[in-house]
Amino acid sequence: MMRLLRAHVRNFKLLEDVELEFSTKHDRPLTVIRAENGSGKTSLLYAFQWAFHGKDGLPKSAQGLRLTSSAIPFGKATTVSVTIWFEIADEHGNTAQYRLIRSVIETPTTEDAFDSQQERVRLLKLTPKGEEPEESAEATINVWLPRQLHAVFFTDGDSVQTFISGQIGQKQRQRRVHDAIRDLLGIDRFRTAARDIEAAFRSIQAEAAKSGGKDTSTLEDRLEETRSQIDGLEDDLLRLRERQANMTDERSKWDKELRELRGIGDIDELNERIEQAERDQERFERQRQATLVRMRESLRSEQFSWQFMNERLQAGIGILSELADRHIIPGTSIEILKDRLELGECICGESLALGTAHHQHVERLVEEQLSVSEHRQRLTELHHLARRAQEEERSRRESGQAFSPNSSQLLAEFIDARDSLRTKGRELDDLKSRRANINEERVRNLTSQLQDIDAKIVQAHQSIGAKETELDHAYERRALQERELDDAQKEVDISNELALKRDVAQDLTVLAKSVLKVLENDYVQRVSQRMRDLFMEIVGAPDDPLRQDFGPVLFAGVHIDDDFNIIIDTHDGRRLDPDFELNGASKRALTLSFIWALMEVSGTTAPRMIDTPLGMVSGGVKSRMLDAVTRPPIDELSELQVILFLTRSELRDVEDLIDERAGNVMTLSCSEHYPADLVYSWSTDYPVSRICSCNHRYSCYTCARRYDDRHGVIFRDIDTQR
Amino acid sequence: MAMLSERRIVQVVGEQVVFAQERIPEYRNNLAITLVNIVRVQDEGFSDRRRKEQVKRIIEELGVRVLTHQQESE
Repeated sequence: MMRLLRAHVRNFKLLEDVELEFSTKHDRPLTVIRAENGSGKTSLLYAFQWAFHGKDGLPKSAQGLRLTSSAIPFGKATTVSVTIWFEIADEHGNTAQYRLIRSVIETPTTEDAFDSQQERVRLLKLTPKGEEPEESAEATINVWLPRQLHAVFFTDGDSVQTFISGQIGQKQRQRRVHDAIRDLLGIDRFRTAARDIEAAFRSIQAEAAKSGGKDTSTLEDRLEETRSQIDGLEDDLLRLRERQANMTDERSKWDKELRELRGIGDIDELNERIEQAERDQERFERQRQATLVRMRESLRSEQFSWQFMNERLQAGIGILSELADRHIIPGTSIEILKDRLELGECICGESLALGTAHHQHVERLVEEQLSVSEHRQRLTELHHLARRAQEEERSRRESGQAFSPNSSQLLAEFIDARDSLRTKGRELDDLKSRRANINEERVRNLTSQLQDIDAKIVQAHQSIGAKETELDHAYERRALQERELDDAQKEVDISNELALKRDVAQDLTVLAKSVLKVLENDYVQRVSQRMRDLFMEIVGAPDDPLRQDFGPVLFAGVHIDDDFNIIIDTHDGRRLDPDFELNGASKRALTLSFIWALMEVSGTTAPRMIDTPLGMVSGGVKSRMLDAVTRPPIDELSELQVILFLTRSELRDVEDLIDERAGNVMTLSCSEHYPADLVYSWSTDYPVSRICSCNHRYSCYTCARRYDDRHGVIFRDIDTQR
Repeated sequence: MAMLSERRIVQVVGEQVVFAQERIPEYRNNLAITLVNIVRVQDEGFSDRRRKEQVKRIIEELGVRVLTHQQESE
């Protein structure tokens, strides 16, 4: 049962000199470190991981990096140290305080390189007489805070989701959940204990047989040999299954990639489709051009004129007809007048002899007529032409050949051709883009890799089958040999003391196995049930799906199945894939519910330090999540310690709950944020992160940020820097 | 005890130890405590052989205690 008391971080990244105090109050189990992005939250989390487990405790991506700030000049040796004061309590309420100090001297040599001396770690027990060094500090720490459970104790909001989703394969995730359950419920410890007890039982049995004068050594040797074979076979089987699981994970990854690539399309098929699309495109272009030509011709046609000039043409024809009716056209009077002049007699009978006034008058009339005859001629031709054209248009209209219906059809044909061309163009672009995205070499490699791994998986499957059969036979052999040995040993007359020791060992074997069974079944079920309750509470889903006040309810529940998979059920009987069908908030809610349930059921008390747990979470889910993970245990004997790194946005709307649950709130800031975000300069020559005692409601000269007022943060005219 | 808390272990073991009730009254408790102690041996960081020896020693001690108790009762 570990509880953090305080910590002092020196020269770890930008954390030059940072001191923290953690809440240890039963009713206020929460400690909050308010910090914006880039203030040093991750460095602080790493500092704790490093302090407890060295570089192996850091995430893989951070293990090779230097621990000192990049502002430290080349050649300057700097001591990095993290000191943590904590308390270990036993079941009877006895507590002991310890001080853990891990330090290392680092000297940056270039931008990317640094010299690092051997890390030094000391664990000191604080006693009334002073500090007493503990032997094997690393091993002791690992017992209190196992490194393999980092994801449970120290994590960030994004990593916390990797328990149930993320880039790692399903089998790997399943193993994580599995390992966490086994570790926290102590399943492996009980298994080891059961084996140890069984070994002691066998040893006592052998002693008893010897003391009774019966030589059962041959039977014992045979049994021992069989047991040893079984151990070997079980290990082999475990390795084979592990290997098969890894291959299956790998296969699934490759298959997914290949399916994605194939989803883009097969290259040959794509080429064929591109050629076809290009041919179609050319055909549609020809159609479009032909229709365009016909449209142009149509616009130059007589029908077009009739369609658009009909009124004026009819008016013109009317005028021409009127001229004809009045005999102004055709102009026949010139010939008649000339005839009369030659005859020398007018139509009226008067003489048109030369020199007469009448003759001169008729001559003037001929001249007048001659001056307009050209126009009249033209008008006459026009009249005949117009009448004929009118007649033809009428006949066209009667036969449906007029411009209007014809033009609509042409336009439709043109639009069809144009649209088809566009569609085909888009299709062609898409096909070409997909072709460009296909990595043919990768497809070939993946196909070949999949064939290889399929063969290996089949092979592994066969090996597993063979090994299982071998193991079954070995189990049968063992049972038989155990019976033979038992029978032989029963005949032995042994002392009461040896008999009692043997019986005690036998009782303990039965007890250990029985406890193991309970842990593997009942306790996993308790974790499952508690996880469900917490998850449903956080996401706000009621048990009754028909409750209207919650709106549509998706989740029917979550549980841990027999293979230790976390399963999310819906009301319509589906199972949700945590990778794709759960939003970020629900993923966090589910993982935190799992971790909390596991720790509650196992009765484990260890600090839980989480960076940005409420990112991507808002509204009711946010406050319910915070409520669920910081609720003090009802049981006075149980303890909870939660340390959350929260940004101002995460703190918004949950301030009252923080007031109620947090025993200590501090603020971490970074000088680099001035002047963009910090209001006051710290006047430092190099970037540094500092902590001040401002809680979530206040700010000071160290931590005041622009827009603090938007978060309701009140400025205090003091400097609370530690 | 690192993980599953000792209190929880005692609870689980206690629930499972009923089968031994025909023995002396304290036997069940002793059995439970012994198993907890055996599990705790793993925290000592012994080698495999040494750990098994320790476990055997703990079991034998319980055997001797039961015997003494029996003799005292007689």
